[in-house]
Amino acid sequence: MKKHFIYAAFLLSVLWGFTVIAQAAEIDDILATRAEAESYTDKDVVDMYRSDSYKLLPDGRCEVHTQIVRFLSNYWACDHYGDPMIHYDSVRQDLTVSISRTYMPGGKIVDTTPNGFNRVTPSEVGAAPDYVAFQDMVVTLLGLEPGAITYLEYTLTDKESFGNTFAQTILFGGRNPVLRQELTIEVPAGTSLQIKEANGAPAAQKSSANGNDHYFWRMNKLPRAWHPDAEPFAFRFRPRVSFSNAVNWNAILQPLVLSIAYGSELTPQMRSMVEEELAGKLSAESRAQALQNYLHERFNHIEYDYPLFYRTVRPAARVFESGYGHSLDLSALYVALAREAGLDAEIALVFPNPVDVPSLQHFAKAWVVVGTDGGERYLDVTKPVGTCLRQGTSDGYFIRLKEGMIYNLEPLPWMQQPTLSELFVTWKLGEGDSACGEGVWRFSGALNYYGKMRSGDLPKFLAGLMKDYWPDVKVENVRVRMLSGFESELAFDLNLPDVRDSVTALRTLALPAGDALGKAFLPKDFNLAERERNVPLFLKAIGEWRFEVRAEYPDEWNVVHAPGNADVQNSYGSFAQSVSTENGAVTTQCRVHLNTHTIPAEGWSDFRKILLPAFDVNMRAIVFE
Amino acid sequence: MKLKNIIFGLAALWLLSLTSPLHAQTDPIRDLIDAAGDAEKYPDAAAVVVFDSTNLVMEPTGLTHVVAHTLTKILTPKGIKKFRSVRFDYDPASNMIDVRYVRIYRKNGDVENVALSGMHDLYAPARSIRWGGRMKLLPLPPLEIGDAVEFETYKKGFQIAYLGQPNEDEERFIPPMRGHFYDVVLFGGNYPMMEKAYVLRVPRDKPAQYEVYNGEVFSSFYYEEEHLVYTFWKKNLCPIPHQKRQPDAPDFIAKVVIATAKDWPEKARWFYETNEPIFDMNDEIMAKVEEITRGLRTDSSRIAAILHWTAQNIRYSGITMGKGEGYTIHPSTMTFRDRCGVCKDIAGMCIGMLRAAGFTVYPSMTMAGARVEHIPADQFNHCVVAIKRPDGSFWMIDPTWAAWGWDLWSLAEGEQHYVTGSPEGEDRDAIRTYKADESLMQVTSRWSAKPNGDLVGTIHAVGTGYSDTRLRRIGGDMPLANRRQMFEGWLEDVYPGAVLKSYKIGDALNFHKAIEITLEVELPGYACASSGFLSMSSPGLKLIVGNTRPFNLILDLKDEERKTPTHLWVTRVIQLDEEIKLPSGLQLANPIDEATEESDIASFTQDVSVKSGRVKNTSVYRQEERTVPKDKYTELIAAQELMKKQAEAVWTFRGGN
Repeated sequence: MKKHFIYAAFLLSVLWGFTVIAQAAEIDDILATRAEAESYTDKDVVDMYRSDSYKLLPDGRCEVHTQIVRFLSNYWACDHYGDPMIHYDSVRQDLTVSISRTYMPGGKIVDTTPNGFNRVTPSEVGAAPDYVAFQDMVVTLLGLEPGAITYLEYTLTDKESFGNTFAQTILFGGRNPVLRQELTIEVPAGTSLQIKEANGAPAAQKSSANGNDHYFWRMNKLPRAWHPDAEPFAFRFRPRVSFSNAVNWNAILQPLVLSIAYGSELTPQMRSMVEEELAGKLSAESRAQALQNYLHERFNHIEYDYPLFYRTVRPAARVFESGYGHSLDLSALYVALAREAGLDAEIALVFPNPVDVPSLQHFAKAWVVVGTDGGERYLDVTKPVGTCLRQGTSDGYFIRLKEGMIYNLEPLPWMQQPTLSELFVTWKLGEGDSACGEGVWRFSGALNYYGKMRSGDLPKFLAGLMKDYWPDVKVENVRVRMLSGFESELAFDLNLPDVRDSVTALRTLALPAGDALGKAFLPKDFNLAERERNVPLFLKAIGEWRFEVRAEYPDEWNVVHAPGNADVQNSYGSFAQSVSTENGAVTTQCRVHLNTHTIPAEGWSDFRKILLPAFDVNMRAIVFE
Repeated sequence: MKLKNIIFGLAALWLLSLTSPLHAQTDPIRDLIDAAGDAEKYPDAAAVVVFDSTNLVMEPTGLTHVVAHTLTKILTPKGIKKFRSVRFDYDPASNMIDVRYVRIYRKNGDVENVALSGMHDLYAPARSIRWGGRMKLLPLPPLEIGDAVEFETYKKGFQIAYLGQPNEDEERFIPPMRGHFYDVVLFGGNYPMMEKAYVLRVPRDKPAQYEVYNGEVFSSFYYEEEHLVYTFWKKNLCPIPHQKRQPDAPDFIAKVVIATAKDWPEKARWFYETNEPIFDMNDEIMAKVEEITRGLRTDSSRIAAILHWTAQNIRYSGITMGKGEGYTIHPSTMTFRDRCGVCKDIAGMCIGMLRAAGFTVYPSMTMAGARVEHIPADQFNHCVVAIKRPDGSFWMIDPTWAAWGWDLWSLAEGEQHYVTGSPEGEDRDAIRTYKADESLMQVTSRWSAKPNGDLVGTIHAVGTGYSDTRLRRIGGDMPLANRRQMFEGWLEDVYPGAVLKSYKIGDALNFHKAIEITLEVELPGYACASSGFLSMSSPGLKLIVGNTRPFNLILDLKDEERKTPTHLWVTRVIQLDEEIKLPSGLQLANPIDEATEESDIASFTQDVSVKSGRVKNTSVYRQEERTVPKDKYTELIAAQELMKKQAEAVWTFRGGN
């Protein structure tokens, strides 16, 4: 008996030893790729290995296991990757960090000591008591120096089943080159799962073991694919895998809609607020705007970049009492108040990027669709009345949460609708050294500055735009000629105090160049001077901006220089400029037309050809003598 | 009948008296709220603090009990948003806070007590320093304009942890400098204040010295049986303005600085005694010191090597050492293993290594960006290193701010006060004033222009002092992967069609020489060109004005009127030496007058001439003061506006073919 026991103990210890050895071998295999990581001499960080594993447990709980092994080549990398932050819901999830380790270049191994694990409340929710379950675990990696390899491994496990969908989208690659990235999904055998791969992600390898179905993906040697202006649209170009156990959108959204409906009861205070705020406002439009104004002025909009954050919608009465909410909370409150006010309103979930499977993971914002006499209005109740919603979404999708509906992803109603921005200016030169002009600016689509048009800030706003072209210009007598939810027109007077060069007696009139007219089209962090891109460029809108400037001058003057005609066309759009001269006047017409939202990386050079002449400040001037 | 009428009349009169103003206004709090006014009285304020009073009682150990009582009236919807919850911060290692009550005075006369059972006790948000700070967060019921929020709190202890190994619970609340009290009391906040009062009671054998700075504050001092009582108060305080690049509020807001310590040397000795045991060594550290100083023969070169190693290799990330955190430097062995810490730990690492190399070195407390006043109260936010010279003077170095800097003491810390913790105890001292020429940025720009308007050329930048630091950070403290994009971004401000042919950056880790950056650039179609006509702006000046940070320039001031001084950290000179070779035959259409704007604060001068077919542009911006008084703001702006204007000025050339 004793002999059997000893034999069993020996066997177990050997097996345990093999397990440890097997794990050690795995990290050793990864560490053995150090030389390959070091070969990326122009990169700060190389992700040597990244693995995400999603497991659906039989009781409906979800467990996510993450491993990241990174090579940090320089001090910048140590500073910026030394304190990784793990978001989690401290009430509903358990977080276990199993490994936080540094392999120093000299061979020493340093593990994070207990004081290196620090829980903090995210500043985004720090003033929102209802959300403080969301916490960040900041893990400080110790012993970092250039050439170090870091290894972080952690698991997030649901404490109980949320009854929510098991769904996620994982992107491969990113800001750093990746030597090897893996994704594993494990579900009880026979679980129905929708899976979609896109942008070159391979098909899953499927297997079964231990009563579970396993799906596995691996991609190797992914180059760095990142640009600040493209990151919000990473879904569209990085290899991606999406999965969901929801049969359709109704499976996810019915519970959400019911929850919102259940929580829509108003308190007497809410009712009396509606009555008070809408007193004297008869039209649906004015009532809708009054409510939006009320929410925007008095409620704090809480944003936190973590998918679970939007999983729960608080009852309208709670949102009202607390004075804050995320966009879904605030939209649900708005809808409850709007219906009390006799308005027809519903929530819309907005997805700026494609969604392959039913999943709420990446919806960007909740809006409200409210019926008015002028038609349906789309409102972002977290923003001021009149905020144009079309920028950055004109090729996006949404789902309207009408009770009892079959829910489907639809393109936003202004999908592919062009934006237009037109400026007409007539300058009169010759009265002393100054020039006076009359201008008209007409715009529509994503460039509809509806809110600005109605505010007292309009002259300052317009002057700011005109100063992009003529820094010393004075803008006076601003008149709103047309104003609607879709297009608007302004008229104004301009005065340039001094077009005369103090020394040469030449008179120079600049022409509009740059993107003041086209700001609605081009993304933030856009840099036209870049010669190459390895990721696409995503425009905020398509359409056209154009100007016509007529400069009238005295007969005794000569035109020393005027820009020439130009015409550039390619598949992404066109630039056209024409200059005509008649007695006493030079008229310059210029037009930039943009065809498509997405400029592929290889199309960047052609796209630049359209925009460069539009931005060419130094050449766009008329010089008189 | 008559009696009945009389009784009825008397009863009616009595009832009427209950509603009379005289009866209703017996609540002094309500009176204060009503007297506070509304948004019309405070047009830019979301709320007004009706009163803010702090009462402190110090025990002989230094443990201080603090009762704070505040009443704030909401004036606008923005104020409603701000007061959706109230937050009270504390550090469990060294202090505790008890919220006694929170009350809302409604504009309709109702008074509500907010249930404290709704209070959350949480980890506080934190960024680079994560020492376990906590907060109490209490949601408030919806407020209306005209409502007021009152709360009273009791706190004891200090925000910075006590060191050593306390045995009893109360020990952790006794301040680091046992038996002493110190405070800096600002008379101003984010909202206008009707009245602020501060009352301090200290034991009769612990007299405190104080001084009032930056304005007037009422004060009184009197005896009680067991205490000396110091009272400070001020009425009708304006909110602290928030203008770009203003100094820290303690530098211009009325304040009282008060302390029981005798003088700075006393505090300095305490600091020395507290931290001296910390500087431990081990073989690993000794080996590293030997490695980085090997072959270096002079003291200055060995000091520089150790400083640069510390500055580059101990990154700024604060994790707690547990009890003692906040005022105690981490042991050198801990910091060496962790390779991270905050300023005191980085300084501690440097001190440990310098001592191992044979130097006499001490830690020094300092305040980056604001003054340290004469009264020895804790006014420090930073820790640096003091190396004792044979003549007894100190050589000050800063391993935290020296990261990516050639200088051992950053020139952004000129005029900075410090107190060194030596065994003898040092008095407060200050770094000297740095001259503008000590942070010289030299930009050389050379171009060749073609008749069709194309320009081809190079841009070269090199600097001294803080200008070197700015350039060196490009080489070391920016992501390598974005480097080309970054330079292309610079050029976009010159001309979107610019082509970056090549770039070269020196070794940012070579601290023996200034770092140099050279760009080879093409600007196709940059100049406006026709037959016999060429016009353009200075590409070099456009590059500098469009990229102020790498060129060590600050041009982002937009205020028309300045309510506070302007704090620019460094004095500086930016000098552009530009030459553009013109196509043959072209001449400047007429000579260009020298552009000049000069004052004691700042100046910009530009001289443009054409000789032998080359345009020569010499532009110099000088900023002589680190902090510009508000009445001199216009002089600063005048120089800056001229520089910006000249960057857009067009030169016209005619003649030739």
